[in-house]
Amino acid sequence: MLTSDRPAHITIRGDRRRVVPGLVELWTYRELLYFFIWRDLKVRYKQSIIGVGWAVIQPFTLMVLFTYFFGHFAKLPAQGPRPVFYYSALLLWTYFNNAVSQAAQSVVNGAPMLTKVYFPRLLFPLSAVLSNLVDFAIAFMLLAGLMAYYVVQHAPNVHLGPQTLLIIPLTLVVVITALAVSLWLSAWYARYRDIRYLVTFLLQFWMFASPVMYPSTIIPAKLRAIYFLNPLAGAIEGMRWSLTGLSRPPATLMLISMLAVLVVLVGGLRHFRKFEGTVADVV
Amino acid sequence: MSDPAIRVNGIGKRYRLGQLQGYDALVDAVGEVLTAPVDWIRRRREGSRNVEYLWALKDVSFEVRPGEVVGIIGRNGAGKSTLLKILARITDPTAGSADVYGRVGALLEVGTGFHPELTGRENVYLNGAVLGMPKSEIERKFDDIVAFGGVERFIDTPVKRYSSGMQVRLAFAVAAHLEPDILLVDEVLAVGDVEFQKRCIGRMEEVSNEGRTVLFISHSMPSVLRLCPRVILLDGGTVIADGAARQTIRTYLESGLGTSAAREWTDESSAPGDDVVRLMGVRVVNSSGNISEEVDIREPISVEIDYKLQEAADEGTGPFVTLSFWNDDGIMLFATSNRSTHPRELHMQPGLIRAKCQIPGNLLAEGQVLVKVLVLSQRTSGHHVDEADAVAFHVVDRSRGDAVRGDYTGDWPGVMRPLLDWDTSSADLSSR
Repeated sequence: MLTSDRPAHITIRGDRRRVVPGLVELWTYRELLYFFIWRDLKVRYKQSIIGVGWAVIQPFTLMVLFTYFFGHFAKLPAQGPRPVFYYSALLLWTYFNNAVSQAAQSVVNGAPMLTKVYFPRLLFPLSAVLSNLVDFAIAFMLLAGLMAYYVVQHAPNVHLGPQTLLIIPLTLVVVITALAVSLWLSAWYARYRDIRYLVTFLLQFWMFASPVMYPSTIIPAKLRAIYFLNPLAGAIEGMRWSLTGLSRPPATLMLISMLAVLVVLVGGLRHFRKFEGTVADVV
Repeated sequence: MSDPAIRVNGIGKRYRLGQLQGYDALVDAVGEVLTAPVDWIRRRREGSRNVEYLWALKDVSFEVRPGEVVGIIGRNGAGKSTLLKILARITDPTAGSADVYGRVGALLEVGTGFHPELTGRENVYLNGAVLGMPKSEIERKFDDIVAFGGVERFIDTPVKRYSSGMQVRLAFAVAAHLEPDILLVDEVLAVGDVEFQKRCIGRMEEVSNEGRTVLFISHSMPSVLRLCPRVILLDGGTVIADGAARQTIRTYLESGLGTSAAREWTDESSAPGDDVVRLMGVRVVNSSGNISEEVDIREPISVEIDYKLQEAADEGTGPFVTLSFWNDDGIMLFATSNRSTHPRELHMQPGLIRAKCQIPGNLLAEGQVLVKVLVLSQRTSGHHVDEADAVAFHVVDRSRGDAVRGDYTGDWPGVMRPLLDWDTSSADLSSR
């Protein structure tokens, strides 16, 4: 007996790879999605002493570095306590960076599997993007600890309130952005091995184009409209604002960037579905 | 008549030649874009020659009833594996459609989805899930799977520390416990030792007796005859014959599509070769001079090649024969040639020439051996004849005790098995 909710009759055609039936099918493969996420996590921390601790060490170390270099030496502007300022951005950025670089390679790495068994190939980028959320959740606990410290210290410029709940939709924006980008990159990478170098370059560029090391206030006002089309810019500034109540990001621009992400996502899904049918021939 | 289990309607699959549809580097794709208009004009002018694409399957149609066990035969490149890959939904067809009624399990290659860093236990769960087993089912069958694979002691050890044999056994154990309505099996499953092959065939017999539908690709005519009442013969991507097993296999062997121990070409114009040389026949003969499909590992065997020289060669530049010997896995065992030994005066006038090469006993390993025949020109270093899989024979070891393996019956790896001189004596100084 195989999973009973998979259809008993299928028609195989070369010209029908629509997005909605693909998503419906994905649902019937949810158990395999769970297995892929579980495998990603297992493999990531096998033969590792610190294990999941690495999820915290990476953004934490960068936060300390940024606080000293940009705060004490370079004296770049920042709002609120610097550790919170940098760590909240690094939390989202580290997730995005790892999710995209792993998801982009997921189809090629899965080649031995996908040339032998059928399952929706969407599971590859999707599981990579979702498994990194576990690391995100662990790293998030340090942010919670940091916030608790500043709240107890009655530090100025730290304001938890209803707006703090926005962290959830803001994280979702980053997850969807990572998935949307990964759908294109993973499909291209299966065809063109150059994409590996492009991904590294793209992510470096993207980090500078996002307010990770600096506040978005240093961007000239007339460039802001373009700047906030980057969904990560809105998400990171939104995250900071939800913790400190300082420099509220422009909501309209954020909505526009979210719409842009949806276009990239739907386009990516269509592209991925089209490519899915013959990926076994090219990968 | 009940509904079919599989209905294939005019399936076609086109591959791009050379690059297999993709590009290794973006540069190539950019290059292609830049040269596309030029290529397009050139194609227009030369007429559309079908050189860039290969139709691995062309207009293939058939139906399979539930519970039928169907063998698919044909030589390498006939489209057998492509057909199963399409039915298993691994790749999409370029044309046509197929309806599949029931849940499909495909055993196209063992080792599917094993991750070296994960333990045997973890891999059983992952592999089961990939093949389509729900977690509850894997849990229920877990002990059976592990026992079948014979890896109980190592089940919590990472798979990277397993021997390749253990990995294969465990992977097969998972696959063997899959219970689909329709089972697609490519013979790659049959690689491995004799014991493992027997288990595969045994399991397939069980599955077919349970009333499941099976599509089985094989080069082994005895296995096909044993398992499949009906056989489909593919060649060049199309169905050549579809019917009772014995009849289809006979068609296959008689048409020269199969690889047997002897091949003759009676029609000179369609025989392999060119204006200078035509291959007329190739035979595998044993020491008593009879054509022989099966060869005792201890006995010498000869390959005879008859070819017709259609025009006199220049002095000292006559064509010569090269034979290469290949095993089932596509590994070349060795090559041999009469380049330096063939009598040159023979090629001074047109005529029929026979070259014979003897391979000593106790040299080849057990299993199928395929022979490729090349007739080469010394003058142009090009070839007149290039016939892969021209003939084949089977090397068997009946374990009489005087071959390399002696009376040992287990797995004996290696592509060759020469009987070598061993001198084993005491190295103890006091006994010298």
